[in-house]
Amino acid sequence: MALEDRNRVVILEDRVENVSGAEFPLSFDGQETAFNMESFRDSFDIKIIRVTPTDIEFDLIGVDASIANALRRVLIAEIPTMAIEKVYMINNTGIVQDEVLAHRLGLIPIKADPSEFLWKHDGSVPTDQNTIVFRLDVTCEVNRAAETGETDPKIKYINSAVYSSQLVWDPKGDQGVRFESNPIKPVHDEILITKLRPGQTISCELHCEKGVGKDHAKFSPVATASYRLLPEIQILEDITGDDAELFRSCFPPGVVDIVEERGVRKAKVVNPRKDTVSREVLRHKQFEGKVRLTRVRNHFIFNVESTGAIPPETLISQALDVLVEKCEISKTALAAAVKNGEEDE
Amino acid sequence: MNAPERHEMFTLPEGARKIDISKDAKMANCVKFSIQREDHTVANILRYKLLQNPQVLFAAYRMPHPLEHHVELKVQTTSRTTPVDVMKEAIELLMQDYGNIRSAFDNELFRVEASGGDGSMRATRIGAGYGGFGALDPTTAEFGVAGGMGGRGDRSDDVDIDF
Amino acid sequence: MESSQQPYQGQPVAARARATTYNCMRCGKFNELKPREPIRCFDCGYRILVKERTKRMVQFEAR
Repeated sequence: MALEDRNRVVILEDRVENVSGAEFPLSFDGQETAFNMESFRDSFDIKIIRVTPTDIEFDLIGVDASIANALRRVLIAEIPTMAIEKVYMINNTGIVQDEVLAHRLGLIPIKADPSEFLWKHDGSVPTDQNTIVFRLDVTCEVNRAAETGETDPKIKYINSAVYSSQLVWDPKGDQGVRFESNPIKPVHDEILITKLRPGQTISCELHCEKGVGKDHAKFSPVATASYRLLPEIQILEDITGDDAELFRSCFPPGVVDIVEERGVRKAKVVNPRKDTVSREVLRHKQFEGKVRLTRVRNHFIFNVESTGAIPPETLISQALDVLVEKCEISKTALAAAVKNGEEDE
Repeated sequence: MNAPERHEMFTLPEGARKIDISKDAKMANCVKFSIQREDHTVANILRYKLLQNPQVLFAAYRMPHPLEHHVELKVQTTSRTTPVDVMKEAIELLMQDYGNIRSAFDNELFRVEASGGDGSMRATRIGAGYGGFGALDPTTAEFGVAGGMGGRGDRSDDVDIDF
Repeated sequence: MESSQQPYQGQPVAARARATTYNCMRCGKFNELKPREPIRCFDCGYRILVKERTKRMVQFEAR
């Protein structure tokens, strides 16, 4: 592997080369690539591209895949949230069976700050510190006000569909005061839970507990958390004239532009970020040897979409804190293990 | 029916330590670290950081069984240092790394929030800061559910890591 | 007080206990039916009726 290629994943028409990183000492002849803080600081960067109430896109530049992957894994599986865990079914005559209904209820994201709650351990009693209670009591009836001959069930019946907005929060202990400014409710009001027909009724009590995504996906605070490597399009030899037009059409709009230089139209890469790396350009004979597709191995484009319970930028901070905490735990544990080892000897 | 207990994922088994060190009898300066209740998240970054150290001759990890929640990390070093020492160093460096990323992220977020008035950027952050594992309040009201779930709750701290 | 002067207190206990609530499958009305009564909704006349579910609470894990 050439030294200048060590940060590039090379995309060829039939395969991908140079996939795994080799940023380890003595991987390259005469090159010391051991870790040092200065070079890390120089190459390291974070850029936030976009923040919305539900999404964040940011670039993590200059770190190894294992570091970025740990962040992604923590986002998905190790940030606590609140989710419905127990369903006490008092009555359910709807067509959705009890256990299926319970499962559906569990997946509803709950807008509650998990740091305000304690973990509920096996066998511990529900308290206002570790449990949120919702009630769901709905009965479907015929709508007497509807005209005869009405066919739309939404008008013909009352409560023909049960939505997440119909979950009623039942504040326990001092919860009503603690969450006065920010009442606990499902993140979205229009999640369809089930449908009912006249005479059918659902009555149940729902207990939310704190949990993490590795226990069950319903606790995961993210809808998606993923990264991709920054695509790079290297033009090795000028692509001009009609070829430039064809070249531009090989990429999604906005990736390649055509500039005029001394009367010659020339293809120029303007925003490789938008590229989907479809390799379309590699199918054309006229570009053979003129273009090279790569990805930058240490440039991670993170895309995180929150379920809405925790804002996306807070999620990233929390994930990094969780990782530091994990290291801290390992550190203490290692010290304890060394001490114990000495005692054994 | 044969499903493993759910808490096994988080709590250490009776009498087990978080990290167990066992020396390799056949190789000099070689140690196997068994880390309980951790997975690829921690093991892979540790492996990476260890390999960055020129004194490390070998570092690799495995998950012996997908249903058992522990990883094994094998480390061999030159005679100039010991596996335990490079391990300590690696953990320290990782903490620095993530601390750096954290502060860089906070700075960048501050910059973005200060500059962004385009509506898509949020002006104020809601619930910023990670409260960790719950603030304790000794005054806890209990409540039951229809059908009765009484009894005194244990209000012990919830970070159940004992070594 | 003589029994003939007592105010009407509904059906005898035994008969009331035997009356069961049935739910009409068409209009959803709850009908109190006694044994040997025609199986028919008082409101809409539909002949398919179902018994009510027990009110016993069941616990489920939302998983």
